[in-house]
Amino acid sequence: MKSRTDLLMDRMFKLISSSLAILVIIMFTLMMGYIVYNSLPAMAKLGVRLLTDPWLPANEKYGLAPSIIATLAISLLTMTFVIPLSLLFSIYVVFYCSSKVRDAIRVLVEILAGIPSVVYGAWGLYFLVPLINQYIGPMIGSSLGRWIPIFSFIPSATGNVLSASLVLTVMVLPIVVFSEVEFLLSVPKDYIEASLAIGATKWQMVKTVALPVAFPGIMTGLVLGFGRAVGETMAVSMVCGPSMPPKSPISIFSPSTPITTLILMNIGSLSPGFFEWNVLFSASLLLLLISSAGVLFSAKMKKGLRLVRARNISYVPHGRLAVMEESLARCLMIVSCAIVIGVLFLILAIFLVKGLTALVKLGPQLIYECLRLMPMDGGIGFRGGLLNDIIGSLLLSSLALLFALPIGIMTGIYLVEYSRRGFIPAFIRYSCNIMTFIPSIVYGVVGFSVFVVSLKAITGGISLLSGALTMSLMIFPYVARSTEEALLTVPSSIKEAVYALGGRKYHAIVVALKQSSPTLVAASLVALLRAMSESAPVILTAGPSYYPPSDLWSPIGNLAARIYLLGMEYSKYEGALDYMYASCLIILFLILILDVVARLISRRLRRYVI
Amino acid sequence: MPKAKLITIALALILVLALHVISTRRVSTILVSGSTSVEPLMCVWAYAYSRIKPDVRIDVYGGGSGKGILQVGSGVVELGAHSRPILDEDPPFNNVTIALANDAVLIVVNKKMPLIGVTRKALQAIFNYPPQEYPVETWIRVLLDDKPVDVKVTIERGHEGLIFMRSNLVNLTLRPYIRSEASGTAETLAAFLYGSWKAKWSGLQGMGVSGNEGMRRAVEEDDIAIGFLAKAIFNPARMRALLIMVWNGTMLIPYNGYDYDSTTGVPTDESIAKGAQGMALIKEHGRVPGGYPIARELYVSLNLDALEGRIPKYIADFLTWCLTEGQEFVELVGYVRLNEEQVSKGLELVEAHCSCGGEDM
Repeated sequence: MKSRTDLLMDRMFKLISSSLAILVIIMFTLMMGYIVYNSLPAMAKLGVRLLTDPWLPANEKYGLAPSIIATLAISLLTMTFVIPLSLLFSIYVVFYCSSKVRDAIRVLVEILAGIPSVVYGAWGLYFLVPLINQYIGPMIGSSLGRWIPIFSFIPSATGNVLSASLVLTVMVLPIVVFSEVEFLLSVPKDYIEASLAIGATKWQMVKTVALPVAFPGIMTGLVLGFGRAVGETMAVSMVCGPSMPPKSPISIFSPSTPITTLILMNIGSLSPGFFEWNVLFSASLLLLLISSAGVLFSAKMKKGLRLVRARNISYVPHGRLAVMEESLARCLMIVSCAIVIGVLFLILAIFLVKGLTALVKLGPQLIYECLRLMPMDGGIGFRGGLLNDIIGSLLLSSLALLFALPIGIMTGIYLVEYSRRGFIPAFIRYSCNIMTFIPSIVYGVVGFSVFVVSLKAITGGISLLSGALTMSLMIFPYVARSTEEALLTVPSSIKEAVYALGGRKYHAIVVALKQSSPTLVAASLVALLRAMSESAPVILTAGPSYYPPSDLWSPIGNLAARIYLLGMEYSKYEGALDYMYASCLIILFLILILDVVARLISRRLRRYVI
Repeated sequence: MPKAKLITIALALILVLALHVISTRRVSTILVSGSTSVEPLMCVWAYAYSRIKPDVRIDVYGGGSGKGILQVGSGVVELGAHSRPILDEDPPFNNVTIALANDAVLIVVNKKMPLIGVTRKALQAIFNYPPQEYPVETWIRVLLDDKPVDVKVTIERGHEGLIFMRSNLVNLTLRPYIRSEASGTAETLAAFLYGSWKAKWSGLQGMGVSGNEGMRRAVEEDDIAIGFLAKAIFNPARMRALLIMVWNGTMLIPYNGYDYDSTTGVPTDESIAKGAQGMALIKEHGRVPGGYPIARELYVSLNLDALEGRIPKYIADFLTWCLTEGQEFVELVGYVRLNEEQVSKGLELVEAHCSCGGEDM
């Protein structure tokens, strides 16, 4: 059994996984170094004035405070919507509804988590913002707003804090619910049954057993959601207003300019020689600080609340209060379920109706022609199809996954099997966490200067390869963390069995990988969808081109970037909105197909799971 | 398992085949990247040119002037489009810069507003850019009983950004509208108000609307609106273009003495071209004889170092076409054609650096 090849394989495995883990550290350090290096001149010159000044570039004043306040206001408001809704929803899904309904809802949520943020942005821009400005805003403004200033309504035609938070809520909710459901399901059945057996009502059981036990996991999900809310660029820019120059929002109806929007809107007109370029990088550094504060806060919370589990619990079984509490909780849960599912179906229905209308209008050429902007009588408009973007999106995301999977999985293996404790694994975990919070536009800029400019000889400049490499930087931390979590769930008895049979470590790892393969497939799907839905890095590194790629080294089209461009910059040209809705529908369709494929693969792999 | 493997292999084969089929047509590719203002014009040109020369493929990306200059400077794209001149802060490179079209920004009000002419100082006060000390005293031209009258007013900024223009003769209230997204139009106006291209980010203040269309709607529907628009979006039925004027001691006269259409107030194409060509925007006071001051040229730059010192013929041909036949599409996109002088200057530049007569591609 212990042949030389086995020994060699074992060594190789360790070498590869350790070196890839070190590569992760190097990448993270480079990334952070790049951001810090670029922000230093601004930090050095402005110092505290970076926070205290107003934002008046014409007077050489670059205060970031208004943008930071806007970012915080939007993400905190988002979390106020997300926390109760997601908790009530996932509790209902896990403990109250039948398993068939649960499965259906899980599929729905998985698909929704994969919808690109620009699709939600388009929904916000064309449905939510008018709705708020014409009906909701005046209504709240004239009632609550009379007494409470933060509800006062300022008539405007643009988005505002509320619309940005609502769009983010819809965007973040599936992600949070997804993880909450997972963690609530993982609460040991014996705990639940024990609690029910001593006469607790269902709600009492949830309140005293399920929630405290699942709390660390739930916090992780919430922090993930918070990070997405803070770092989201494109969708927020479409619906937050933005106010130029940035002003601190004074009401939930004021237009605002969060940091990501500030960066997105200004970086295009600059090049690295400008002082303002440095200012924008200090802004993204501040954004990272906010996200890291979120991570640290959740870590502290996790430790603090472990104690809840040890608290004595006394039930008043079937007292009047308990029954009332139970029915109240049920009511709230049903209401929140109705809201969540209602809104999500509304969004899907809108895109289905609008998308199908566009599809019928534009005809089958949509899938075999490339998009073009051409002169027409009385102006210019779009014609053709979306073939270039469909091909581009698929190629880019699959290639990015191809790059990210080995690095991610090997790093995960390293974290679980080779070095679980100590400085290096802690640092890797930390960097993976932070990297998920770096806003996509910053990835775009880093990818641009590293892959597009410095490595032009290899990547061919603006190309599929540059785009895929940048995108893989974005998604591999997620793959690494998911691999780690998946491997940790493999029972140690299985590994012990491998060792007992005389296997080496790499045999054990292979078995563990096979055991967790369904989870890995699910994680890869999420990563793939993330790569498909990001648009900011594509705009800086890969196109979006109007032609299909001829090889790895040529630019590509991209559906998500196209949705942003059609909805924001080109909306004035004929046919732009039709093509936008069609792109949305196509991307939803692609997500559905990929989800089904992943499910099939995962079902095939399930036979390895003991 | 063999079945799954077969399917995978088949899929991979199909993909490779599809890519191969797509890539078999040999074409020379010109990548254009940069200013979002130039992007739509380039797209239209790319389409129209591909009709004439199917073997040249022009791929256009937006992203902003800075991105265009950066990318052409680092040799990533062949043409970098930009709507501002190359500045000292930009990466230096051996560039050839050619103007392809003119862009003008009109200051517009609703037709019901009796205002017909403003000074630069009044505009600075209206959009609070650069930030002003109120009250501001300046001259404006208004319609009193259908007759144009020059009056001296004090301008104050009130609640919710409303602008009050008061004198003993008139009492006007204006609501300034600005573009909420980064836009070339707003940048252009900001540069005029600021006096140079240092104003990279517009800090105009007012109520935000999105897009040229949003601005058009706002000015059409709000009686007290004042905003700014690209010339092509101007709707003479419901709005009026304000005259940009200066006080010469006795009366208000058009800035630089530019020509305009007396019914709508819109500057003539010739005065726009003059203003753009003279780079009125980046001259401290926009002094270009006969030139409309809020106008700029839209450029593309080439990096000679990345092109081995000469402009390849296929690029030179395209640029020549843009400067001549391509000009008929300029108005379609919303810009103003080059005048003859600008065209011949561009053609000279192309010719001087072209490797014409050399090998094709």
